[in-house]
Amino acid sequence: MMRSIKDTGDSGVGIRMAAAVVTSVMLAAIAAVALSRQPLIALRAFFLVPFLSASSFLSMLELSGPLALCALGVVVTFRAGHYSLGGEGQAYAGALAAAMVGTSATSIAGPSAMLLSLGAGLVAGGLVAALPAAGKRFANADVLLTSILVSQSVVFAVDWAIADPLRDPTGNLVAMRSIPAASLLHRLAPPSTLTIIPFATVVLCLIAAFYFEHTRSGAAHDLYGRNHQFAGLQGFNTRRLSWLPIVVAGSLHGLAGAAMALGARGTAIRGMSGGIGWSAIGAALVAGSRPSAVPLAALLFSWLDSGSRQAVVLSDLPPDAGLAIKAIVIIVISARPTMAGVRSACARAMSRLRPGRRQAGQ
Amino acid sequence: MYTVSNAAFDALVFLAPMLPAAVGGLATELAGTLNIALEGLILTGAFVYVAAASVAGPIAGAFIALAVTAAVSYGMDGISRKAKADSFVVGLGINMLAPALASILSQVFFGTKGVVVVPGLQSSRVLESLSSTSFVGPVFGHRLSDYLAILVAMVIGVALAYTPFGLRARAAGQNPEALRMAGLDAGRLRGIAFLVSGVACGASGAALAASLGAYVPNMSAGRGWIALVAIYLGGKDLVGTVVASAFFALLLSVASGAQSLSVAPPELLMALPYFVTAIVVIAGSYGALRRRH
Repeated sequence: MMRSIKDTGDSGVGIRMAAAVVTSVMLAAIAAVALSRQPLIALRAFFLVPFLSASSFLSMLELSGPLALCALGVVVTFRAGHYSLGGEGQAYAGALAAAMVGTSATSIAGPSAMLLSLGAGLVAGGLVAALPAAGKRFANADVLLTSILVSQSVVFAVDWAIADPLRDPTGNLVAMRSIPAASLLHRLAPPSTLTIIPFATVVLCLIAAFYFEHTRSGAAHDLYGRNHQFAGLQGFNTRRLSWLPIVVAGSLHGLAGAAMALGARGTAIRGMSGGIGWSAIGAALVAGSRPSAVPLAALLFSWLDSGSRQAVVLSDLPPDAGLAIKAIVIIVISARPTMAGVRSACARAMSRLRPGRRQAGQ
Repeated sequence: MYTVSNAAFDALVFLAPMLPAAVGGLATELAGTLNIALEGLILTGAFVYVAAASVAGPIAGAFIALAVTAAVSYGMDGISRKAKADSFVVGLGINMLAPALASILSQVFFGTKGVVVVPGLQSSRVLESLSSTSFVGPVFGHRLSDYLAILVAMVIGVALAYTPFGLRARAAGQNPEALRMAGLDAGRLRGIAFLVSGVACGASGAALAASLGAYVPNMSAGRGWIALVAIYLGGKDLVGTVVASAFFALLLSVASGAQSLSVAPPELLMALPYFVTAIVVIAGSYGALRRRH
C-alpha cells in the first residue's frame, strides 16, 4: 500500500478553495430545497443565520480553531507521505486528558492550570500517535492501518472512561465534571464562545508555512514525502522523518481536543470529537496541504457545520446534511481533470456531434 | 456457559459479513488500487438492502443492494480514472458520505434516523438440527444470509484464483504496460475489480442487515477497516486474507463472549480486538522486514 501523495503544496489552492466554496454553496442550496419542507427557512438558516449576529459568527470562528489544528496535523503527515487516519482518537484522548487535568488541578492558579491542561492534551494526542509512529519507524508498518486501529481502540476506551469512572454523577449528560471557570480558556467576546484558539491556530499555520517554504528541515520533510529514498540519498535524516511527523500530528490533534474541552464544551463529553478527524482530512485536502490555507478551509467546514446545525434547529433539514455536503466536497475537490483532459473530452464530444450536424445539413 | 463451540459459532457470525468485503477488496488490491471505501460500501449495502427489501421483498432487496454498491464502487473508480482524482481521497469521501446519506434517506423514507426494523426481513436459520453435532456443529445453524455471503466470497475467491479475470487483474496490478501490449485495458480491468468489490461489500452489508432484520446506524462498526487489515496481514494473498479474516472474526467473537463472562467494561473489551490487531500488524511488518534483510 505504498502510495505517493499528490496533494502537496503544488496544487492550485485558489482553484481548490473556489471549487470547494462553489460546491458547498450549491449543495447546501440543493439540500435545503430538496430535503426540507420549509426550503426558504432552511436556506436562510444555512446561508444567513451564521453571519447575522456577531455572536453566531464568532462562535463559528471558534469552531474552526480546533478543526484547523487537526487539519494542520493532517498536512504535517500528508507532506511527509504518511496517511495517518487516527485523528479522531487522538483528539478525543486530548480532550479527556485536558479535562482530567483541568478538573483535578484545582490548587493551581487559573492560567497555569489551563496551560497544564493544554499540555496534557498535547501529550495525550502524541502518545496515541506514538504506537503507529513506532510501528512505522521500527517495522515499516503501514500507518494507515495502525493509526486507524489504535484510534478506534482509544475511542472505545475514552468512551468508557467518560461514561464510567470519570462521569459526573450529578448531571444527565454523559460527561465529566465541569472544568473550573478559572482553568478554562478565556472567552474574548461573550456570549459567543470565541477564545484565543482560532488566532493561535493562524499563527501556528503561518509558522508551519514558513517551516515548509523557507527552512531546510521543511524541504527535507517535503522531499521525504515525495521520495523517501531520494531524501535519504540527499543526506537528510529519514529515520526521524519516518516517525516524528506522525507524533507531531497526533499532538496537534490532542491539542485540538484539549481546546474543545477547555473552550466551548467546558469539559469532556462522550462522543465530543464528532468526526473531527475525518473533517480535518477534508479541510487539509481543500487547503491543498498548504498550511497557510488551512484556516480558511477550516472556516468553510465550520460554516457547513454551523449552517446545517442552524437549519436543523430552525427548519426540518436532516441533521446529517452538513456531513454529506462535506463528503461530496472532498470527492469533488479531489477530482482535477487537467486542461488537456478537458480539451480532449470537449474534442471527443464535438466529434460525436459532427456527424449529426452533417446529417442535419444534408 | 461460554464454550469453544460458542466461540467458533460466533466467529462464523462475525466472519460472514467480513469475508466478502475482504476478498472483494483483495481483488482491487491485486488490480493495482486498493478500494479504501469498504466500510462505507458495507453500510450502503445494509441500508439499501433494508430500504429496497421493505418495498420489494428480501430477494429483490439483496439484488438491488448488490447492484447499488457495485455501481457506487465502479463509479468511484470511474471518478479516479476519468477525473484524475486520488482514489484514496474518493474512498475516504465515500466512507464519510455513506453514513450521512443513509441517515438522511432513513429520515426521508422511514421518518427516523435511528434503527429501522422491517418485519419479516430477518433471515431464517438453516440446518439448526445439525448444530449439536460434535466438532463441526458450529458450522451449522447460522442464518441463510450468512451462508450466502460466504458463498459470494467463495465465488469471488475462485474467480480470482482460477479464471482469466483473476490472472488479468493481477497483471493489471503488477505490469499494466505488459497488459496493454497484450491488447487489454488495465484501467477497465481495475474498474471490473472495483465492481466486484462493490458486489462483495453489498453482500456483506445485506448479510449484516438480514441477520438482524433491521438497519442500525453505523452497523458496519469497523468491519470494512478490519477487512482492509486482513488483506494487508494476509500478505495480499487469497488464502492469507481468508485466514486473517478468520483470525479477526475469532478475536471479535472472544471479545464479544468475554462481555458475558467478565466484569471488565464492554467498551474496553470492544477496544481490545482493534488494539491487538494493531500490535499484530506491527509485529507482522517487523517479521517481514527481518525476512527481507
